Amino acid sequence: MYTWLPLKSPADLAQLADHVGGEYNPDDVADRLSGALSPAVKAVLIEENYIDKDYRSTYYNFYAKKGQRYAANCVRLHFFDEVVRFDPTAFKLNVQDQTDPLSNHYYGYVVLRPTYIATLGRSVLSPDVRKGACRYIIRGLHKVHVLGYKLTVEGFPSMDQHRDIGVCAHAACWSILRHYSERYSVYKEFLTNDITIMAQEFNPGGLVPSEGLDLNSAERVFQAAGTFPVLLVREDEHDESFYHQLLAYVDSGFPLFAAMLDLEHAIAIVGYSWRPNTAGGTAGLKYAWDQTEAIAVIDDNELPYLPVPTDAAGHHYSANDINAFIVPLPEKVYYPADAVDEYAVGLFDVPSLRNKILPPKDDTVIRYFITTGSAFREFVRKHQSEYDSSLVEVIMTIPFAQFVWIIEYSTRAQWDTNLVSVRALIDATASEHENAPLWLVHDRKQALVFDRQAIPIDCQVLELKDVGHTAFSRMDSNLRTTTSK
Amino acid sequence: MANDAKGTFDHIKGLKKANPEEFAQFKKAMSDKVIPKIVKKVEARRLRAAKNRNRRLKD
Repeated sequence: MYTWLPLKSPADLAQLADHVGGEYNPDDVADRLSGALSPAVKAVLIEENYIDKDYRSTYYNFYAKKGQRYAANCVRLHFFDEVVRFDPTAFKLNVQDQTDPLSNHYYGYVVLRPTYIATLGRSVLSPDVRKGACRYIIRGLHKVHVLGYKLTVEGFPSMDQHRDIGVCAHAACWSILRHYSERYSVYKEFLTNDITIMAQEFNPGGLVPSEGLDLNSAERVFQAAGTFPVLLVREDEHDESFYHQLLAYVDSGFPLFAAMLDLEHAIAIVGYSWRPNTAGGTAGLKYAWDQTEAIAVIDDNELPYLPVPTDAAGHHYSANDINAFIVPLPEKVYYPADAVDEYAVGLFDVPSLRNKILPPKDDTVIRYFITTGSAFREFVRKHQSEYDSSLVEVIMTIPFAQFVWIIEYSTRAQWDTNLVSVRALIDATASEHENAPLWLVHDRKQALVFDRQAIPIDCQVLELKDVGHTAFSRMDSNLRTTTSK
Repeated sequence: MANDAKGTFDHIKGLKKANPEEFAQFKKAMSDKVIPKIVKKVEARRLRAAKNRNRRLKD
């Protein structure tokens, strides 16, 4: 059964209770959605009797065994803009322009579980309709089948914790792994109950999972899912390097399992926003983290993409409360972010680089992140007018080992205009003991090219022609930008 | 044999050998100052991780 609910404003979601049973807790759902969705959402399609694989995994293993009766099916809410109309007699979704794909007007879905409490189940919402969403969000393309239509939505998966058979940490693991399975074909899909089982050496049964999960168990989940997790714990509140690395991994497109150890709470970090203007301020070397205004989190007590400020207490907490994170890496990233953090500033210790290539240290902003060699080549190809043709040839020739760390050095003025003066490329498969883990360091006048296949590693110099650009474009294509609606 | 092997970038015109003195200076600066800091930092990270693996998350 399908019901179309037109909305003049998100507050009209209060009408959900007229169409959805009390076991789905529609008043609470409406209250949460109306406070977080933008007015661009103009209609909800209510899909009843939806079979949700994640809820069913918990139903078969837990809810069906209880004395209280729980329904086997869920309700799914689909969100559309003002262009879409529903024909209840023909069960058709219409847009006026037949050549305009329906997915262009679709903002995603939330599943409601019949569990009386914590009823927001598997959800994928577009960050474009989340009030206050950060500018850069890690997202994947999710396929949605409804009424015979195959729709798509870009977003990051989220759900409420079940409370009795799973807690915040299970929900954060599930979100990250569902993103991985949708985004990368190498990872398989894990259902909610799978995550609960994977966290333990044996199936503890009963309500033991509701007692929580430790960091070691979360690492076990990510390892069992085929990723290579790295755990970072902040040294103390002055450990700025911890946050440089946190941002670097998110900027690389890796969602983080983040822990607030003092609050015993876990979330997933999936994006960030820069500050609007940063050229001023005190002198001294700066990092991309210093220019970050907020991080976007998936918190199982909130709707997705909650913006969390970096330097002040927000509505709930701030980034200062995060003191550990796990990054589930792919196999071939051996060179860790803490090594890049030191190496990036260490290049200023080399007189020839400090005097001839790097910008003045006190006026520099450092940003570093991981990308693939092919993504970097694609970026350079797109901006090839900014590069000497010989440098393009070098970049197309470097025998990258899939992943590469990129360090971008900008002056503060360049930072504010999304420009970069120097770029260094580190082989992500290098050892932390290597003194030259580099593939390339270049500015507009000179490139140092490292032949890592020569024994010993060889360094060559390329003098670059002036191609009429004062700096290079910043590479920000790892994450998609939010277009607030 | 090794001397006859082709370098990765041999076909690219304009590439010249780096000044050996400057390249040696580069490697020395890294080996003396930067690499020890990296090794210490990575080891400290591993120790902190080992100490905190049993911290519980439940809210």
